[in-house]
Amino acid sequence: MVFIESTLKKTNMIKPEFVKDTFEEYLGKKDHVSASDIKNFLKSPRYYYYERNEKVEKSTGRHFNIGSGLHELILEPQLFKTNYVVYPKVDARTKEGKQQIAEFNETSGGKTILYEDEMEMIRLISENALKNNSLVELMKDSHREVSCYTIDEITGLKIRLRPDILSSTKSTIVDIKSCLDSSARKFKSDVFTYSYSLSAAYYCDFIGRENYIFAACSKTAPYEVALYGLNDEMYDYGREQYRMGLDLLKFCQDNNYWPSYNEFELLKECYSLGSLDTYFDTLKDSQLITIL
Amino acid sequence: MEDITITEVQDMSVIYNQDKAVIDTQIATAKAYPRNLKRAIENSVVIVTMDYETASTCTYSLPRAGKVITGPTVHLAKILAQNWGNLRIEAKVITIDQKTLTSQAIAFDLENNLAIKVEVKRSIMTKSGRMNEDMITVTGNAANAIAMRNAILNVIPRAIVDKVYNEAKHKITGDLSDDTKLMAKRKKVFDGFSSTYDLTEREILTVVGKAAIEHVTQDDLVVLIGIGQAIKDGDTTVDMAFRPKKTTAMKDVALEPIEIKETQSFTEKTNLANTGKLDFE
Repeated sequence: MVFIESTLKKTNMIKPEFVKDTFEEYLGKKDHVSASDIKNFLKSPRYYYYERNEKVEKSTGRHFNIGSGLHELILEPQLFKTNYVVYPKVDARTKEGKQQIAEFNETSGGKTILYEDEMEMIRLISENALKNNSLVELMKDSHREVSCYTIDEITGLKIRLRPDILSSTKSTIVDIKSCLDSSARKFKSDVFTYSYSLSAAYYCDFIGRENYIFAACSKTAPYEVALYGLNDEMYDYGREQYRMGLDLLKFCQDNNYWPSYNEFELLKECYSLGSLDTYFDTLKDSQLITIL
Repeated sequence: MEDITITEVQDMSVIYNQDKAVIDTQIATAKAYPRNLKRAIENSVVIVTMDYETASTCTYSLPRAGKVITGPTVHLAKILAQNWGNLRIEAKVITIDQKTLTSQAIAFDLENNLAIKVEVKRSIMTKSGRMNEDMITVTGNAANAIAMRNAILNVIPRAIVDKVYNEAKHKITGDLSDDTKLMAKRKKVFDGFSSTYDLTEREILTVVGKAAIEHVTQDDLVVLIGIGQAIKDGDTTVDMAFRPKKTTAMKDVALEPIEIKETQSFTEKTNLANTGKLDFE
């Protein structure tokens, strides 16, 4: 109680609302901004706009099913059977395979299909995860897959978050990440590739927690599970990135302006120089060639 | 009404000619009175090895991101420059923007007609935003010192810098010409850290990345002594140097209970799971 109150005072943070909803309901809140949205936006506002408003077919590769299945088996095993079903592996590229899957889908009640080898992998990873004493300790007295909705005080943008594990007794959030290699060296590279520092700062700041721990689960044998935290510089970088993302997203929304890469580089430059108000004038005089 | 003073902007060519005249005179003086290499080195060594305190200000060791950064200090660079002679050195902050400042230093060897320009960038951001003006000045001065050191150490040949630097290191560690002396010194340094800061042998060894005390070299001792000096000077703390920050992720704290609402869709889904009707196939 003491920590939350002091954090709220320090950052003047709006108290977040916690809701136990389905993942579909969480994803359906399109007027809210998630950490992934900010990452898309920082790629380019045009890309963010396309992902949110224009993209028709959402790609759901096998890795997505494996990742979500792993989350469910570790975090909410009681719901796993409701949402997933195991099916012998078929070649979904062939006509016959497609037909088999289509027929099965009709009778499966909308459950997500996991192939037998995928299920076996998920089972082994979750077994290893539950052998990790620190992870088990963090899971004790925790809320799992709870959605959190709040507002960014500076921009007024609505924020959505869904921590995998939110401890009730420790100032810690745990994020389960499936990856090809859970060694420290490879995971550090993932932190940079997938902007995990942005996620860590975003969740810690908006929920009001001190620590963000990644439970890296390797999808290759022997399916090792390791816990990683970030150093202060990584948090600071993530904080700087999401702040810029939210501020510029607000700017783009207000101006209904969704620039692509070159224009966005210029926009970021104006932001860092504190001259966003003159951006459109600067744009007119710019050659729009970004020097790499 | 206030008096308005109008200052005529000087023609840039006048400034250029003034600077050129000064530099030309300095070059002419340097050519007339060339440095004595041997004397420059000897004088530098005499000064840095004057006493333990002076020698210890010539090297720094700071733990950063799990490693120890060590090297010659600004103080050593200034001693070298003073004795090397015929050098023109300048350092100034050239830009201050929203997040960083840039310092530029130039070391000009007038005798050899070699000038090296170095730029150093420093962040002026803190967790609570941009630094105030006083802190920006302090950061600018620190950046100037580092830029100046780098410029001087680039102009003076590496062999000469190393010679003087090594003499300073020898003065710090004392005579380690044989194994017995090295062992005795290791013991003295480790015992000093243990008794003064209540550190274990393991904690001290971790900083220099060695598995056993027998593997600690003269350079490692310089690093440890440098850290000891930094602790005394208040540049770092025992915890920062020897006990890197551990996460508080596992620590129990008092937190405000979270009130969680449940949506109807979620309740229905949970009920389905509890009926057992949708058992795993």
